[in-house]
Amino acid sequence: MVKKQQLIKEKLKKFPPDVQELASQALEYAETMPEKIVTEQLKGIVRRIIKDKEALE
Amino acid sequence: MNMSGDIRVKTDRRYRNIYSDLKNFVVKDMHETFFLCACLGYRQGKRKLLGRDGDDRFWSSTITPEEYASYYAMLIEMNDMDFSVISDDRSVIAAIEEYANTGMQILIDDLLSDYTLSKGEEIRLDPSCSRELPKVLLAYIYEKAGE
Amino acid sequence: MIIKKMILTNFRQFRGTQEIEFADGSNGNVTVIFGENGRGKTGIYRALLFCLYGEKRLSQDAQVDESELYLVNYPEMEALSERRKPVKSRVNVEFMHYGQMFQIERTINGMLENGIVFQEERGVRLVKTDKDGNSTTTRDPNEISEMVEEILDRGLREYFLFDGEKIERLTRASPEQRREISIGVRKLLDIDTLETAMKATNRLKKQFDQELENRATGEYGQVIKQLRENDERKSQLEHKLDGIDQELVHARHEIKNVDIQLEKIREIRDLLDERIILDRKRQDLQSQIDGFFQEMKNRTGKTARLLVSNTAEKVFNHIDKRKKKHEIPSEIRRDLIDRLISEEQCICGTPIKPGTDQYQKIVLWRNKTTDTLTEDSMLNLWRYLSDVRSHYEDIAVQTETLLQKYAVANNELHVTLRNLESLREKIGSSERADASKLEKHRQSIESKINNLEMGQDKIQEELKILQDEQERLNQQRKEIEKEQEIRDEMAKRAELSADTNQALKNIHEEFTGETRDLISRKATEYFLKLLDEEGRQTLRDIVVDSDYSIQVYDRWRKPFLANISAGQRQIMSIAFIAALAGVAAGTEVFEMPLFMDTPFGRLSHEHRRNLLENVPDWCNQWVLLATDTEFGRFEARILRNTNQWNKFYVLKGAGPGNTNIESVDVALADGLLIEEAEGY
Repeated sequence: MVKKQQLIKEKLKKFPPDVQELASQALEYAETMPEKIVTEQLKGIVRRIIKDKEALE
Repeated sequence: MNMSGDIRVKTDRRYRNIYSDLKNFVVKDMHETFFLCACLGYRQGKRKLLGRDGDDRFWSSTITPEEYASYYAMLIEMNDMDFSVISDDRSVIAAIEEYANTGMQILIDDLLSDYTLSKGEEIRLDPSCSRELPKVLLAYIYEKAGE
Repeated sequence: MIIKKMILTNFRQFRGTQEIEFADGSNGNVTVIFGENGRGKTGIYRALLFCLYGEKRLSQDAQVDESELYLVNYPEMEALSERRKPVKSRVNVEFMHYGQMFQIERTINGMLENGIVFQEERGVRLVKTDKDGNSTTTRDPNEISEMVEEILDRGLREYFLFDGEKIERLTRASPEQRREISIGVRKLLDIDTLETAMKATNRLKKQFDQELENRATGEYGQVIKQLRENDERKSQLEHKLDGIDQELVHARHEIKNVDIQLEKIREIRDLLDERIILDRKRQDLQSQIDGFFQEMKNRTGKTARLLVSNTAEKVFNHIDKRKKKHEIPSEIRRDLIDRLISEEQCICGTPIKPGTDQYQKIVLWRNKTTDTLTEDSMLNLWRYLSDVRSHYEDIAVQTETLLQKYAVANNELHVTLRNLESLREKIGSSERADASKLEKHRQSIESKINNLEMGQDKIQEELKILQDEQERLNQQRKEIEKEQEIRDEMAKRAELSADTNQALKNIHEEFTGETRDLISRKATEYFLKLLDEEGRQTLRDIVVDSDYSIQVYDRWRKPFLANISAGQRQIMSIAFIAALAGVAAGTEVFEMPLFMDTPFGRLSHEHRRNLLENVPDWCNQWVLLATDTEFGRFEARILRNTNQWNKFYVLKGAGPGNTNIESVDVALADGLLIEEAEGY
């Protein structure tokens, strides 16, 4: 299973940094939380990523 | 003749759904339907301008070399063996679009009307009776080719 | 895992204490368990799963009511019910794993009271003996469960049971086939985390889209709204499909029950047997026709070329003629000739005055040549048309052949349907009122199945249309956002969620793609070993497509599924299941015993031979569950020649609900077998 996680992380590298970040977070939460909770947690992450991106631009 | 892949091929917007339905259930892809219609229209010698009724259907990159070669042959024959007419792919496609336009109407009149439902201007395949359409269409093409 | 012995006590049909010693590789690895349908062959596999994992159900029991799933022997419960005593049912399995001996014993008590069966699990015990002979005993169910899962993961167990129904399901190109394969592949991948993350980001995307829709206006708002509505419609349809699936499984189970009851009515048994054969034929023909439709779909584009073959010929001939006359490619370029004319001199330098013969000749020569660009076009087109022309005859022949094959199969299907109909009438009008009633009931279920399948098709079509519509609307949405520079924060959140969801989907698809490829390669390997000579000459590959359907390719890499025989289809199905087991095992030879339940159905003698000769090499242990109509002296001869068959058990009826397991010397098996089992 750990090997699989590594593989997934490798495959994520070809996507833009903000997508990588959100996807990695989603996968981390999904290991221990059910789908609905993961969704709720990700809302905050999305807001933060967008704000950080805007600050840079 | 470059067999350009960056041209947006258009059809009459009334045929948007029928193109989509045929792609889903009867043929492999839209360029095949377009090719069939172009051939039907060309054989009848009828073409109809798209004008403002046209909208984008698919990219010319999906057109196979065999189809493109057939299109060039049609244009050349139509222009008394003047080979300069195939120098610009956009005008080739534009002409073929007109043949495909009439060709689709021929296809509907000859065959598809038994398998479609019309809602105003929109034409769609009737899923309840189109299971055998791949066979019906293939037989139709084969028979027509023999005429 | 090598199973040495199984002891059954009052388990399912096996009353009293009965024992099976399995061929364990020391003197052969094939055990044949032989008996009529309903005698308990699958019960042996159930006993194994119950003992190892405490499992009471197989996947085929999904629609079976809990009350019908009793494990304790019914006649024994009946016998003791008056004394109000429970029956102790037990399964004891002894197996070796990497030099260690394991013995697991699991007990369940059952009692029959006022016609109702009560069952209660009574614990499990594991004794482990290491290589030095030291034993430890455990009674903790969790600890035992962990130990067993380490040896063979529970999720993989169903890969090692090849039952007739599963084999049957995979022979037909149908939504059921695709679903079976999709489940098989996904289970192998074991990427629950990835799937949860996918679903979560999808949900996130929908929520942000909803917020966006609440604020968006005009055309943009309409598009967002339509996207959401289509999404909801898609979920509804998928939910409906699931419902239909369940109903279909239930209906098929019901038909099976009715058939079992009908079989008990001796007077109509022949008619029933005839019906089974005809029904199989109907299914095979239907599969064939579906395959033909698929091939026709693939062929339409090519066949359409014939419509303008005359035009292509004409243009080709025109260019060809000019080539032959050396008019193209021209020996000297046109622009050079133009220069000669303008400079009024020949190539050799001699001045040429306008109006002279020589001048006229040069002008004529120039008029015959074409400019370089056009010349190149003509030559290229000549090459393309040459290729296009060369295929016309093939295309015409192949199309005609395909249409003819379809016509023959379609005709045969109609004849078969008519015969089935008349059989139905005969069964239904039998003098036995119970038979008539059962038959009517059966017909109504069949009709229900037809309607359900049609409903499935309709929903699949609507889903395809919706999918297209969503793609178009998403494209439109992007264009509007670009045009109107709608880049507010809400839209950005929705976009990031959508992109992330898509990224995860892509990765998921890559994984499943890799697994599909692996399964395809393994399935091909087994397939080629099992095929008959004729098949091996034509067929090359099995491929699991991206839509989870199976396709077979011939040596020219053309799809060939529509043309393979029913027997070859069955072989394909077995090869596929073996591939799943192979990939699940992750080892060259399956370490879990392979249970194969009546795999011979439509197989020709050659196919049976290949199966019997090859499977013993694929696994450490092969337990072949066979009926008297399938396993005859021919099969026994072949198996004996492999020198791998050394255990033979016969399941004999001993009254209602009772089966005795009798061990028979392999050398004496022929006495119990028919000379020629039913073959194709």
